[in-house]
Amino acid sequence: MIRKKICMLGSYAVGKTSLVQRFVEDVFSDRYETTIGVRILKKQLQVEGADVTLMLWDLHGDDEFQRVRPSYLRGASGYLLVADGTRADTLEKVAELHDFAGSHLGDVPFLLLINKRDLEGEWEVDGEMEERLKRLGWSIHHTSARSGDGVEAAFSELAHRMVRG
Amino acid sequence: MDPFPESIAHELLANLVGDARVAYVILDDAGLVRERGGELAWFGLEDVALGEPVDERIEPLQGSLPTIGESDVLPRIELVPGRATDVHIGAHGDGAFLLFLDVTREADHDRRLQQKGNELSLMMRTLGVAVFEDVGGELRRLGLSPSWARALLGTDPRPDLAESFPFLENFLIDARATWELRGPRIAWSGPWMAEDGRGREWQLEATATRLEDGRKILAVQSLEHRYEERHRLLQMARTRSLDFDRLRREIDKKEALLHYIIHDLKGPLGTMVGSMSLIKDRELDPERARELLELGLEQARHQESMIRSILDAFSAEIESLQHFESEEARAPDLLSAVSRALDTYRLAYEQNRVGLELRASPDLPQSCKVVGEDSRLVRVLCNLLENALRVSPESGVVEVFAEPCDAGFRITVRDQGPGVPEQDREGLFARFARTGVWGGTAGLGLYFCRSTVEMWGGSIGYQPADPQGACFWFELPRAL
Ligand SMILES: Nc1nc2c(ncn2[C@@H]2O[C@H](COP(=O)(O)OP(=O)(O)O)[C@@H](O)[C@H]2O)c(=O)[nH]1
Ligand SMILES: [Mg+2]
Repeated sequence: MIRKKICMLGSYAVGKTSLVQRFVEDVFSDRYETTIGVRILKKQLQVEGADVTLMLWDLHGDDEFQRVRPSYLRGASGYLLVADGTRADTLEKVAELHDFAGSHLGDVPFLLLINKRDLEGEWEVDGEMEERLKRLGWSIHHTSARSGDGVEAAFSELAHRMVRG
Repeated sequence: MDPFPESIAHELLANLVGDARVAYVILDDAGLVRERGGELAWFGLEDVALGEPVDERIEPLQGSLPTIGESDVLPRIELVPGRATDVHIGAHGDGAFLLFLDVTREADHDRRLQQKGNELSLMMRTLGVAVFEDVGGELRRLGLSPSWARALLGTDPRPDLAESFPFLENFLIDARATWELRGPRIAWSGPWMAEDGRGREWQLEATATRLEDGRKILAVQSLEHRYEERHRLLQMARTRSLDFDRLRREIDKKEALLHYIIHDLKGPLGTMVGSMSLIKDRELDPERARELLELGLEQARHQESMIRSILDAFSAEIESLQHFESEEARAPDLLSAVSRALDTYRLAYEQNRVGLELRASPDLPQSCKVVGEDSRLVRVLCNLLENALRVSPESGVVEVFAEPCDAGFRITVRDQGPGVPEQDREGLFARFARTGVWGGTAGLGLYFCRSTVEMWGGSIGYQPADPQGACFWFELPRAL
């Protein structure tokens, strides 16, 4: 049995917890319950014919109240950067966290999820920033933890890249 | 081996142990008492007689004395209840000696220590702390288990912490660095959550430290109230900051909206000023002047309707706090509201040569009382009729259907205009939707309709008409 650790990184209230819950338990709640510390959920997957257990580290949001500890990243095979489409500043935070993760984990697979796609009418992040990141080779997914759109696909792409890598 | 000559043993011991009580007997090779001394009475041995065996009086010695060759100690036995005695046994010549030392004080001390340990352990349990000691890489539980540990780990004295808590598996790496004196003296894990078999979530935090005696200790604590407090504070801080963000965006939007509104309102004004200037400055024949007045009037009406829809939209939020009727007796009648809305627009439709038809289903009851408020209900209908008129081609027809539905009653306004393009359908009812003609002035018309209908527990939507045109429908619950 292969075990792979994935860290969820992003500003607060972007939907890290919701994405993990949607992926693992297929549920969603509109209520905002801020995360303190770390919650780990497991999910079994078939990746390229192998049984893989994903250990999903749902970390608290990184902001002036709580910092993500470098030790939380130890041993991660990949990470998901999460931004909230309706809050442009969360995309800047993601760039910062990417540097942070890169400096501790080196070159492991990651994806950028721009979440809350169901609120696309209220999106603030502009295509230009996205284009710039794409040119840097980032793989970007638009997701909605609320509707489930793109969630499975994002986790599974990361899982594939981790197993292959 | 002779430890020391008996003659001085007593003296020596008396000196060494001070006020402690000491007694001794010396046995010959047959195990019979050859010599005795000290405070035998204290140990209940006052009638030990010379020439007799001693082992019958001391239960643990029974039968074994002759075989004892080497020195030995029977620790903490009670020859007299409540008096703890260490019995030292040693070979002496052909025989042996027994030295009785009173250790009651030491035993009491040990008991007190033990009790303290139990109290401490009880206290730890009450505080929700589970203590583990690392012994050769294996974590052993010390003391009592608090409830979270019983729920999450069971009663195994050597639980597999790393297996139960992947988070801890990671923290143990930091803990080991602390124990090996490579890390800080104390390492904290930060909080983490774990769910027990019953679905209860516990908030835990671990501390690793190395005691002065070198023991490697891991304490895991359930945070309970402290977590709740921290959570409340952080939740509040973050909710506030999200609200602040939302407010900022709202203000930005309102500013943009203000620009749009001013721009939209200025449009008709240009025509009005233009036509009036012409009338004032030029000699015009009455027919031409009339045409210009018509034009100006039309623009004035247009402006008026825009102002009304702006007021509607802004008052909708305030009115949402106000009351509406859901009791049948005072609730508005849908058909009566429809016919008043039709009356309001009949003239405008005629002028534009657009037909306007009411198609009430024969299944409708005599009275169609719906949840809502009469004048706002009429305004919702007017909004839809105005939109339909605006997009209708000349000699087109707008039909208004009224029929019963599961929720109550349903109204559909159907026109023969171009319909709403696919890309504009999402967000059609959103505030400030800039979807061409459909949103009404500054995109507020349909938003007003939606917020009003939804406030009353109804729903509203769009679907393309077949073969062409737009259908806007809304449903309102029946008033009971
Ligand atoms: N509309 C919408 N709301 C979402 C979505 N994902 C999360 N949320 C909401 O955003 C808030 C924060 O989500 P949460 O998962 O706690 O964010 P975290 O702090 O990053 O873990 C909650 O109120 C969620 O209900 C989404 O895809 N769409
Ligand atoms: Mg969270």
